[in-house]
Amino acid sequence: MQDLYRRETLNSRARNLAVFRPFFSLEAFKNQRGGKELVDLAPYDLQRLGMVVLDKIILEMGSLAQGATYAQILDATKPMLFAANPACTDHIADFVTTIVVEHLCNEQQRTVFVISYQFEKEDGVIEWRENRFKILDPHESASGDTIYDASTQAVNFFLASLDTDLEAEQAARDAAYKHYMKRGRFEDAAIVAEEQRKLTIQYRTKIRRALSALERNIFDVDYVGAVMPTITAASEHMAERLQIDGEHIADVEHRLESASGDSSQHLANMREIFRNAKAHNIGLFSDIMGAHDKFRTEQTRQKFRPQSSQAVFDPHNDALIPALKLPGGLVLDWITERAHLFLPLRMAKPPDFADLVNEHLLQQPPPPPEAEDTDSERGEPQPSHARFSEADIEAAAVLLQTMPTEFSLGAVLALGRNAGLTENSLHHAALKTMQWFGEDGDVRVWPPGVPLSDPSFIGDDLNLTRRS
Amino acid sequence: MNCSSEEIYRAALLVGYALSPKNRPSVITEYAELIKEYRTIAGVREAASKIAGGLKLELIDDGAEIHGIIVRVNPGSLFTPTLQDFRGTRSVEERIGYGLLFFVIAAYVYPTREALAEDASSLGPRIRISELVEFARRTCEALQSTVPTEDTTQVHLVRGFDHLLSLRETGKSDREQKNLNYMLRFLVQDLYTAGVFLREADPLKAGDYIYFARPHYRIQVRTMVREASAFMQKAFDQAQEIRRAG
Repeated sequence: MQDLYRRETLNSRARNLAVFRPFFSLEAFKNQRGGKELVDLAPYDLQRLGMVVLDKIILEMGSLAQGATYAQILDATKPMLFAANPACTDHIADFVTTIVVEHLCNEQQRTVFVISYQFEKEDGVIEWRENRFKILDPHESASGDTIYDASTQAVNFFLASLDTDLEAEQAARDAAYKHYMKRGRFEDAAIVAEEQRKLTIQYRTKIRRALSALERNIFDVDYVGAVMPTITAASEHMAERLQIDGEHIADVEHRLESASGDSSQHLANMREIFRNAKAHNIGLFSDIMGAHDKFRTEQTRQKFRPQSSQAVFDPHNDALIPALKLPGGLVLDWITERAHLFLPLRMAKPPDFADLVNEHLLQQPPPPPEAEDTDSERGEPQPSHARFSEADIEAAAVLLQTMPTEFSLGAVLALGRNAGLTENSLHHAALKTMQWFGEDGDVRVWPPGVPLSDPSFIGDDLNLTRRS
Repeated sequence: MNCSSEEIYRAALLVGYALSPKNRPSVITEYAELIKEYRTIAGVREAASKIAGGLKLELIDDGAEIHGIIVRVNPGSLFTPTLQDFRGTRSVEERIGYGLLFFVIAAYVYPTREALAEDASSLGPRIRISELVEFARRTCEALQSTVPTEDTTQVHLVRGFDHLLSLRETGKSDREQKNLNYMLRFLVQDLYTAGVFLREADPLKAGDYIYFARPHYRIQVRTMVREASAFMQKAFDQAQEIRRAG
């Protein structure tokens, strides 16, 4: 039996040690991370900075947004960075914080951290296994911001409570808290109280995640076997915590009456921390109370909803690599027939006058790219990028200048046609007159309510008056 | 199921909002209410599905309270995009290049099956154009060192990796458009404009951006990879048969 305990302990220790690796590598490889701008990272302890980032994120996970924005993270890291190096600027702080956040998101691999460790099986055979975990994960908040939340492994690592379940960890912190309070060590007690608050947030996040699994796919969740016991346990845990937090608040308030100086400040801080923890527990209560209703609603909803495709194929090995090995023309033919798989949906847009004016008059299209020596299609005739030639534009401008103080669009077109202007010139002149429409400029334009009489153009006529 | 005219009206409103990923329930109160009705009122759900079905669309409710309803377009829909809508270009080289780069972006954002299978609400990694270019080049170079290059002068017969490697990484001037950097930037920008990607200023490179793929892209890539995988397998089998036949 003792051998079993030893093996289990070593297996879990070896597994948990893997979580340390990303934090150690943050500091170990910092000389390679200065980037092209060559920011000297030597003055900064990136491991500690990683903890500052985690601390802020865990606290913000208890907020409405359920995570921290990058701006919030940066606000939290700046004081430490400026204190560590007086020469640190806002830009450098931004740079260094980004490096840490990206590392903890595992941007290099663009997926979970995968750390190998050795595992001893019951028969004593040793085999390699993988611990796959995340530390930070970016999400989109309801308001469209990018927010970061921390994984359970990251919170456990931060609170140095690896391999201990949350309830047991909270009981241990309670004991430590009482120990410090009994001896009047209020500062230490406040530190433990703050850790307690983070555990409360973590517990609430754990329950929220269990409940949000219902929203993703209710048929993958064993509600009776797995979720209901969790809810029952959470309910008991919450009632216990509410009572304990209440006792802590009463105790702190009692001591506050006779405290002074630093002690008074620590006690006041503790009261705020416990009140906040209590608020989280009340929030958790509401989540739990709504769980059964949520299950029933989701069951009805998901029974009828179309499922998004499951990811059973690998985008790299099943799509990209084969596509790159095939002749490009073959792949292009296939894509052309299935553009909807690659592109977002397109809204068919009716012609819009403002767009036409912008396209043809206000923003001349960019000139074609310079010919390249390597272009195998060099010499192939290309269409002109200019909608109107310079001669068209010039003729239209002259036509409009010759018009009297008051005139109509129909008169412009008739005069232009009599003068032998091209259709393109007339088109340009028509667009120019319509560009004045709705503008408070040199020419006042209004519709007389009669249709245009012209062999090529259709629509309402316009009256125009030059302002003196 | 019989839906009331009011339910049909509400369902049509919902489909209208869902057509643009830029519409957010947190900003448009009516959209948030409609999503709630879609989830709780059978008539609204039924009518919305039928309206979408008639337009050859599918409505996907995956974290809709945050991202809105995700719409999947089926072939033949009024809303089906074409490559011509995306970018009108006459050059075969560029069209093939853009086609292959669709795959590059998908594989960069979701490098493994596991990454693609993650919870749809996870945004995935940050996307920087320079890193995408580097990824495309490295992947093609790795293939070039293992797969024999076939000697051909016809552009459409050149293998994908050789094709991408024949494009410059960056242009000689800002106006040059036939290079990996420009083309990837154009693609990513197009996805951002459509509301499928998010964008933030890049703290590591002043004046540049980092992009994040929203759940809409993850769901699109899942379908794309599934269909592409089947096509690639079939294409390889055919190619092998042709080789065997001499």
